[in-house]
Amino acid sequence: MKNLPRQPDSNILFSLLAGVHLSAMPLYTGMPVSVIFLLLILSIWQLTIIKNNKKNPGKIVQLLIIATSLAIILYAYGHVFGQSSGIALITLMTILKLFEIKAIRDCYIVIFSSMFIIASNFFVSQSIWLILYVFLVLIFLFSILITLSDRLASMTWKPRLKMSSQIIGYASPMMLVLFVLFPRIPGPLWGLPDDAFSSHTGLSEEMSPGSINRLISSSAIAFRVRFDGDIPAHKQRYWRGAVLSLYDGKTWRRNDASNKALHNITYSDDKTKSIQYRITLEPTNLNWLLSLEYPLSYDHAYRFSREAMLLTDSKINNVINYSLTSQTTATNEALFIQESHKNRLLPTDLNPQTLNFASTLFNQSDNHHQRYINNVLSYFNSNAFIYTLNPDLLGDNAMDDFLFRSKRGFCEHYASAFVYLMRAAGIPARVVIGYQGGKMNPLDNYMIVRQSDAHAWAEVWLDDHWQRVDPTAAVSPDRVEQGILNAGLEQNKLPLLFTTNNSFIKNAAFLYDSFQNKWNQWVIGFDQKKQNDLLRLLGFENTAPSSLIFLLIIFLTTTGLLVAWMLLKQKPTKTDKVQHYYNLFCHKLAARGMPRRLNEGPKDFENRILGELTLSATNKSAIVFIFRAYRNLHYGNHHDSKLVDQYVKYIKNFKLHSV
Amino acid sequence: MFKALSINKLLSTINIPDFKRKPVLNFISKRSGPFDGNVSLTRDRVYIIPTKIGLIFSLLLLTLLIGSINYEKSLGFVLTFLLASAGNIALLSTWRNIAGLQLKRLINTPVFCGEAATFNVQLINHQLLNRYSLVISQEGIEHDIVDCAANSQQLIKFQIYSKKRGLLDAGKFRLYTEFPTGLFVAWTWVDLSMSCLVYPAPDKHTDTSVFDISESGDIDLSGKGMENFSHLRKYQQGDNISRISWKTAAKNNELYSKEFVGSKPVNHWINWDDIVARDDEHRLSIMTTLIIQAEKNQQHYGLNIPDKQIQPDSGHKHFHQCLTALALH
Repeated sequence: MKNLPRQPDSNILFSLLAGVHLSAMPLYTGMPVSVIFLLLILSIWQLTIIKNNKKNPGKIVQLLIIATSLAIILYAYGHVFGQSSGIALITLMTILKLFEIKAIRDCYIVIFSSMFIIASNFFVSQSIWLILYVFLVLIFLFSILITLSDRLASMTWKPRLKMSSQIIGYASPMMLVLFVLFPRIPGPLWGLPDDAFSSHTGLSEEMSPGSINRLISSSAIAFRVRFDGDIPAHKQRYWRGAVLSLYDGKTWRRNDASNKALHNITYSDDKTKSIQYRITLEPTNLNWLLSLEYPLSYDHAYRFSREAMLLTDSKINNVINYSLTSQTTATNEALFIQESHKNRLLPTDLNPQTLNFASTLFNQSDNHHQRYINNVLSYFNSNAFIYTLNPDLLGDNAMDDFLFRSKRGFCEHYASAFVYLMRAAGIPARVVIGYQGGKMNPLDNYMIVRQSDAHAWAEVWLDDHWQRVDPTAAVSPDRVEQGILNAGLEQNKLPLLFTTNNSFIKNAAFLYDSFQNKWNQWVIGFDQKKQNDLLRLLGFENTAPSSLIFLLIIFLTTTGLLVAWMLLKQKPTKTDKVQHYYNLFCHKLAARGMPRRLNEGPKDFENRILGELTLSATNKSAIVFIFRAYRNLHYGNHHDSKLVDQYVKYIKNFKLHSV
Repeated sequence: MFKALSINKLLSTINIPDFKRKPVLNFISKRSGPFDGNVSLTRDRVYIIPTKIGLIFSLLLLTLLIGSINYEKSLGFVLTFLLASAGNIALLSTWRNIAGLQLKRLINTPVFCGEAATFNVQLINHQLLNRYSLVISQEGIEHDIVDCAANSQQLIKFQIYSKKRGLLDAGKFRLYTEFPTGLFVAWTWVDLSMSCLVYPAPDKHTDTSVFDISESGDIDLSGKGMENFSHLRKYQQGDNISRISWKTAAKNNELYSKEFVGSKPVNHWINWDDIVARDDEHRLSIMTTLIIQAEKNQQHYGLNIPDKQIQPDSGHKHFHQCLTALALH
C-alpha cells in the first residue's frame, strides 16, 4: 500500500484559473495589448483542456510556449527583468504552471503565486477600493485551499466561501495590530529597478510642447497642502518644481550639474511674511519636491540646490509628507559664471526669424532688460496669441512657427518662447515647471492641487536676482488669477468633475477627497513617524523598536487569545439544550412534589403525572406537549429548531397549578 | 472468509485474555496510550505543526514582508499581515477540526493468518461543529478518510496484515487532519489497546476427504443420524442451516429447525495426536482446515488439543470457539 499523489479535478483547475485572473485583474489595464492577448489565448487553451478532460501539452510544446511568452514580453517591454515586465512574467508563468499541474501540491504553488501577484498590484495603486477587492480575492483563494484539503469533497461552495470568509474575517483584527505595531524599517533595503513605479501621470524631468498640455485632462491629485495660518492668494501660489535650463530646439531639460554648489538666497528678517505649510505629495517617481518660493526651513533629509530646487536622495515612489516654511519675499541671488553662460545658450542654426526679431526688439528697448521684457510680454498680449489646449504642430524651427505663424499655444509654449527670446538677447533665463493654483476642500480645510494645475513659467536674471515672469499671464491673466477652469480653455478637454455645475457632485467629490486624504495620511503614508505619532496619541510615550516589539507581543497575544476563544468556544449542542430544559422541567415538577424516579423514562413519567395529579386544562396540554416534543427532539433524528424554540418557551412558562 | 452472523455478541462470549504490555515511562506514551478502548482528544493529546506547504507559505510571507519594507508599500504590509494572521487562524481551525473528538475502540472480526485484520474506531463528535477530512494512518500509510458531522458518530478503520496466529496488537495509529487549509497538520497518536484474533492459516495441502478425523468408531461422513425426523422447534442461532425446514418457514414466516431422534448425531473428534505434521504450527493449520471442512459439511465435531477439549457440536459459535482455541494455543 502506498499513498498515491492526489489529482486535482476539473473544478479545482477552473477555480485556480479564475483565481490567477482575479488576482491579476487590476494589473491588466496597465499591460501591453500583446501580453493581454497572450494571456487570453493561453487561458482559452487551458479552458478547453480542462473542459474536455484532454491531456496537457507535452514537454516540447510547453518549452515552445515558454519561449514564445518570453519573446512577447521582450517585444512588449524591451527587457525581461524590469518591474512591470517582471509582473507580467510572473502572471504568465503562473498561467503556464496550470499546464503542468500533476498533483495537488502544484495547485498550492499556483495559489501562492496568485498571492504574490496580488502584492504586485500595489505598485500601481494603493487605493481603498483595491484593498477591498484584494480581501474578496483572498477569500476566493482561501476557498480553493479549503477545497484542496477537503479530501472527500463533501463541502459545497457555500459553506466553503463561508469558512474562508471566516478565516479572513478572524484574521483582520490581528492584521490591524500587526499593521499598527510592527516596527517600520525605513526602506529601501536595496536599489530598485529603474522602471519601478513608472505608471504615474504627472510632471516629468523635461518639457516639450504637449508635455504639460496632456496633464490638463487629468483630475488626479498631485499633492495636498495644509496651511498653518493664512493662505496665499491664487496668483502667488506658484508651486515651484524643477528648473530646466538646457534647450535642444525641442525639449527643455535639467542641468545636470545644478545639484552641487550652494544656493544663495537672501531671506528677510520679517517673520510675518513666512508661510508655513505641510504637503502630502503623491508618488512622482522624481527626485524633486514642490515648494512655494523660497523654502526657508525644511527637513534635513532634503537638499536645496543652487537653482533653488528641493531635492531628495531617492525617487519619490510613495505618498510622502513634508513640512516647509517659505518666504515669498526672499530673493535668489545665485548666478555663477557657469550658470550665467548656460542660461544664455541656444541651439545654433535654428529659428533665424526669432533671433532677428529679438535683436530688433532689444535695440528698440535701448538694450534695457526690464523694458525688453515688457516689450516681449506686450508682443504676446497684442498680437492675437491664443491660450489653447489645441495648439498646432510645430516644425523644426519651433519658435519661428509659434511666434509668427501659429500663435496658438499652452503655457509650455509661452514659457519656452519667452525664455528663448530672453536668451536671444543675452539675458540669462530658464524655464520652471511646477503647479500653479490649487483649490481648497471646504469640508476639511486643506488645499488640493491636481495634475490639471500643472504649469510652466520663466525665471529671468534681472537686477542681480532671479525674477519670476509668467508669460502665460500676458495671454490669459485669468489662468494665474483664478485658475485653469476660468482661463477660457476648451471645456471638453477639462476633467468632467471641474466643469460640472452640479453642487451635489462637487460636494460628493470633496467628501470623497477628504476621505482619500485621510487614507493617504493614515494608511498609505503610515511610516515610522506616523507610527510614533499614533502611539503617542494613544498614550505610549516610548516608541523605541524594543518597546514597540514588547507592545506588539502583548497586543498580539491578547488579540490572538480573543480570536482563539471566539473560534474555539464550544457551542451547546442540540441535545444539550433539549436535555437542559427537560432537566429544568423535571426540577419544576419535583418542586411541586412530583419528582422523576430514577430510571423512569419520559413515557412512564408522563403517564404517572397524568394519572396521579388532577391538572388544569392548560397544565395538562402543556405537559403533554412538552413530553411529546422532548421525545421527538431527544430520540428523533432530525433537528427542528422551531420545535426546540416552542419547547423551550413552554418549559420556561410552565407552572404547576394545584387544583 | 467466515463472517460470523453477529461477531460482537460472539466475541463477548469468548474470553480473550487481555493483551499485556510493558508500561513505558515517557510522556508521549502517557499521552498516546495505551488507553483502555476509549479516549477523548484533549488539548495535550493533539499536536500541530506546519506542513511542507505551510513552510512554503511562510517563505511567501517572508518575501512579501521584505518586499513591503523595500518598496515601502503600506498595503503590502496589510496583505502580508493579513496572510500571516490568516495562517494563524488556519492553525486554530486545523486544531479545532480534530480536538475534542472522542475515540472508541470497536470489536473486530477475527481473521485467518495472512488476511488483513480490520480495526474499527468509532469517532464521536460531541460538538456542534462538522469535522472534515480526518485521516487514519499507520507507518505513513493512509488507511481511511472520513468526515464526522456535528453531534454524530463515524466509523474509521485501518488494516494490518496478520503474519502470526494469536492476538494481533493494533498498536498506535495516527489520526490526523490538514483541513481546512493544508498549511498545518494536527494529529494525535493513540493506542486504544485494540487487538484482533488471528486464527491459524488453513493448510491448503490437507486432503480432507481421505483424512480420518474420527475416533468414536462411528465414522459416517454422510450423516446418517439425521434421518429419523422427530419434531420442529424454533430456529436458534447456531443451528445448522441445512436443518431449517424451509417449507414451514414459508408458511409461518418464522424459521424452524428440524430435530432428529433415534441414532445420536455422529461425533467427529479432531485430535492433536492423530495428525501427522511437520511441526506444531503445521499441525494447527491442518486442524484449522479440518474444522472449516467439518463446519462446511455441517458435522458435529469436537476438538482435542493438549490442555483443552471442546465437546462435539456444530454451528458458528462452536466453530469460532474451536478456532479461537487453536489461535491461542
